[in-house]
Amino acid sequence: MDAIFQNLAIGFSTAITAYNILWVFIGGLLGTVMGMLPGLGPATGVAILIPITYGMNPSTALITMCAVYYGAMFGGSRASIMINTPGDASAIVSCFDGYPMTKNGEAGAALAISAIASFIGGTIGMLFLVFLTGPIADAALRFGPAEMFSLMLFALVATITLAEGSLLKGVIAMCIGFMLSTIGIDALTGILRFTYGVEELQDGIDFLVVMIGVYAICEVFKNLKNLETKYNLDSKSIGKVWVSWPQFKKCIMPMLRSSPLGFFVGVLPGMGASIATFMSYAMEKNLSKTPEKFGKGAIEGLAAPEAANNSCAAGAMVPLLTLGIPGSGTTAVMLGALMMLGVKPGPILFSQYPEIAWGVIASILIGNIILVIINLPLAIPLVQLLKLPQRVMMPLILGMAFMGTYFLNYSSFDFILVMGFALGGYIFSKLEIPLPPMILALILGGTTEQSFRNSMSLSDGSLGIFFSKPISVTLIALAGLSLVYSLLKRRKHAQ
Amino acid sequence: MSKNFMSGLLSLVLGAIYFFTATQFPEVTAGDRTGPKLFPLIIGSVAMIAGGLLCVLDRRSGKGQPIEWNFVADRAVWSKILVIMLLGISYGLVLDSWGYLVATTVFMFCITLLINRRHFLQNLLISIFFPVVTYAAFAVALQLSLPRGIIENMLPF
Repeated sequence: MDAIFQNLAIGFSTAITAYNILWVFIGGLLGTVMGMLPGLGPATGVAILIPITYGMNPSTALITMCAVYYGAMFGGSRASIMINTPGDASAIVSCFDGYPMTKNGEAGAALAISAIASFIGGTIGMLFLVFLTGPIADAALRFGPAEMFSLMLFALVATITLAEGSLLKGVIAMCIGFMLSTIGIDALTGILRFTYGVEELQDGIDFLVVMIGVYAICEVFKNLKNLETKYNLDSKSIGKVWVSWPQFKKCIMPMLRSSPLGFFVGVLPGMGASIATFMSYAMEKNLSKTPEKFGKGAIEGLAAPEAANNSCAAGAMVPLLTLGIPGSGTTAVMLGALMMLGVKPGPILFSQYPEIAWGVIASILIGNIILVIINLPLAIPLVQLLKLPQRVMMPLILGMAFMGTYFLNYSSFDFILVMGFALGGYIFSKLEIPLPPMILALILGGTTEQSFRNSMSLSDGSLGIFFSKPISVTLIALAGLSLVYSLLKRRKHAQ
Repeated sequence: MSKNFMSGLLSLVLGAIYFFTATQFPEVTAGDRTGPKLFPLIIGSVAMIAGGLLCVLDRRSGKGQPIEWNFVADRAVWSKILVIMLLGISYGLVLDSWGYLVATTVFMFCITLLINRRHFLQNLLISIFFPVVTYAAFAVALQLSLPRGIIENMLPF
């Protein structure tokens, strides 16, 4: 326990500087705006805003990205509440009771409880994060190549099986991610692989180029059909952005129940915030004495998913910080940005750079406080941004995305790649091929291959090494169970 | 062609190309028992198997969902995508020589004309303010390197 408080003290001393707090504020505000605008989720938000972190030290960069992530989570429900259009998938559930509340003349209370629930969810998530990261990182330090490979395998299988849609399409997406990760010079032998004579591919493909393409620019492609969409927003009828004590009392238990649920869903790779919000909504509806009020403006039906949503974001930080495995699209983008700054998240981060690891954890609490301040008094001016037409937003997003691409390597070749990946992402969406397995395989590809090859060298070419170590066997068994469960679930669904 | 069949076919083709390319790698096992070939060969094989299975299962089910390319109905969307791609690549090619401010102004103006039609003044303002604000934020405030290009001598900072 003492160690935790010592680490937190290091974290707060890093996070509480005027410079970092300023960036938490800026990041949180920009993230709120990004999350609020329909069609732009937290992953797109972080991908577009990566350039702002380029001149920063790694601690400030990660703190800023976390603020953008949390801001997007706070802001996601604004559009759900006001115009019945979710900012991203995780805000869909907020439409169920948020918009009916607006129609019932309770928009102010809906906006307030969504900010308060986000704060409570984020804070509880942060507390879990404090107590879980240390032990997990310590355990991960003892992982050899075989355990590392099995861990990667489990993360990939879990992402494929927990993602919605066809299992085989998940496998295909994973293979494409691995294919992209093997392009360039082989780290162990120095041989050029899959470059097909293109000199620019020798160093491999920067995965931020892929992310900017498939998240930011591809989002613009998807929104080109809805450029003229106008939302019917009546900001004058919002009233006071606050909740009464009876309303808040109704939400206390739903928020306290949904926060741990959201956190543990967030820890699992591939289980996005949308799953957490649906689960928490279903749970509260089942537990409620008045389930018939759900969907008609029940305030607890809005508070529960909002709390789950934000604690899920804290949960997603666990595998990222302790194992270097991103659990969601947003954390994948953050990992990419950090690696570009020369920091590789994982167990070593906690022992070598405790100020970064704990600074980020501490900044989550500070970010939550700042975000609740942004989202309560500034709720009304912020929702005015929903009046901004897509046709104005899209060029700005493209501008930022290209700027981010240029800053990666100062190479015009990256512009060709980013456009190719944007088109690829668009085709994937038409074919309903899930992106998360591809992104995860692309990021983990190098480590997965290296740990596989190192294990094989250690065992003289025997696959038995993966079954001779307890942790490795457990992880492989979990991957197998996840696969079997998913197959059974899909078969039942098909029947 | 259905979504699943097309996805399977894509995986089959990519997997085959990838597998074949991997077979051409030299055998190097110094200090590394498996060499650079094995992992890509496994990935290529899995891609081909998954792709083939998806195609077969789709044909057997006979209930494949057609792909909604909508090339005709969404002609405007597809043509905009094509123009954005061409503009993006051209922007990358001229960025160093023209400089960030000039290239971005031209790029943003073209993009806004394409996306935000019939709002000439708004587009002009976006095209001027976006590069100026971002240049001030990144090149001046954050001290990041951005190309100055053809107006290098005219810039005050």
